[in-house]
Amino acid sequence: MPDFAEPLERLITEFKRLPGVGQKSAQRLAFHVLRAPRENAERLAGALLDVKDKLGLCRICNNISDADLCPFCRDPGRNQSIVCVVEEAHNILGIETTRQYDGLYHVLHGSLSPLRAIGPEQLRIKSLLDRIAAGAIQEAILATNPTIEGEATAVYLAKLLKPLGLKVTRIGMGIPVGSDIEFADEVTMWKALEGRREL
Amino acid sequence: MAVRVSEAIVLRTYPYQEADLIVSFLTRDQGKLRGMARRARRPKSRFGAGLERLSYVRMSYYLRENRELATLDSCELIRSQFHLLSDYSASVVLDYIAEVTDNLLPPMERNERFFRLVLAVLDHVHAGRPGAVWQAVSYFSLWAVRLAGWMPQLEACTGCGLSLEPPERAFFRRDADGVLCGHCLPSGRWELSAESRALTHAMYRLPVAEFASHPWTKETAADLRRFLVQRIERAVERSLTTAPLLESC
Repeated sequence: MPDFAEPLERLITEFKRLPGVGQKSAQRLAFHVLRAPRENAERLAGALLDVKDKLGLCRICNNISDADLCPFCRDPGRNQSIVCVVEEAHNILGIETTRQYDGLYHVLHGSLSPLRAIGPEQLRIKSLLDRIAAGAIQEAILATNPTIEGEATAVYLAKLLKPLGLKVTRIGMGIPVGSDIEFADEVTMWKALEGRREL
Repeated sequence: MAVRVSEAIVLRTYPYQEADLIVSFLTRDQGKLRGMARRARRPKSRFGAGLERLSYVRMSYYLRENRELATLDSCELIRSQFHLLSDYSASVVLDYIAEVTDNLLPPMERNERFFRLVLAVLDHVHAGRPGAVWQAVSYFSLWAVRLAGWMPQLEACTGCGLSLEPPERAFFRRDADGVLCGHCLPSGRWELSAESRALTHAMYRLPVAEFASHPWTKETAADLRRFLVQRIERAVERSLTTAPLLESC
């Protein structure tokens, strides 16, 4: 590896820490910053610091927010009786793009994964139970990922929430739109049949 | 470069870049391998549910000489573990099996007996009888340690050679090589009961399915499980992430 000047080397090392960025990509990014005007570099540095300084978690739903409450919890126009439970804050974006859901959210910040030492205590489950105990929520939609960990989390949550008397639903799983049934595997097909609906 | 097709059990996946996965998998004919599954996290991935933990699949992959990572082409699902998710303890046991297998086996070293062991214990868990998950975890741990060559003999003290046939008591400790008598290990010890030692002999002789009618709870052979987890942790020189969660189920 060639020896770069110390500040450039340091920038390359920092870029390499980012997920999915290897040595070559880090060098490209670092040289881009080097060649760019000073204002661009200042904007980048400012944005990085703002993310760390100005963002926190919503007091109610644990979504990432720049205020005490996130935009969804602040909005009185949203349906206050439904909560959609997701693994990560960025999962909300996928649901919001549909424009079909107007309820609230709850972010768990992970899924049950013994292999990664994540048990129920490491997830934001207690705050979910507290919200439900407050009484306004009538339905919980479990929108964890359709993976082994996501499904295990959904099953675990369903066992906790059902005795509290609210409706517990799971997002549909199965054949992706635009694909062919012929290529679906056993689990995908099973989940698609299990989640079938009357027309 | 010809495509290889092997029966395989998926052990673990690691997210890589935007939508790829690095997959650790145990094949029947090539041993433990690692491979790159491109675009595996996309909804229309050709891998479907085949790359979930402990899925039993027919894996198609390319393996180049002197390359550590195989390139995964596709996988055909033979058996999935999705059906077991209603039981949290079964889910933790499956993670334990995956972690031990991934850590204990060296890469690219064929070990068909270990492959058959994992399949047998998965079948046993699928049977869903009361206590089946604890039978499976004890049986798997014992044979995993034995097949890896780390199982000490339990019939004699490794310190003084004294026969440990019952009623003589046997003890163990994390840093000891085997089991010891009360004189060689007077303190800081756990006991390995005569019942658990008798069970090890039965598990050496019989397939796991034969234990189906044997009454078994989480407490059965808990001392043996602790002993075996310590053996495994000594062998792999690290603590198992899933072991404490297993005991807290």
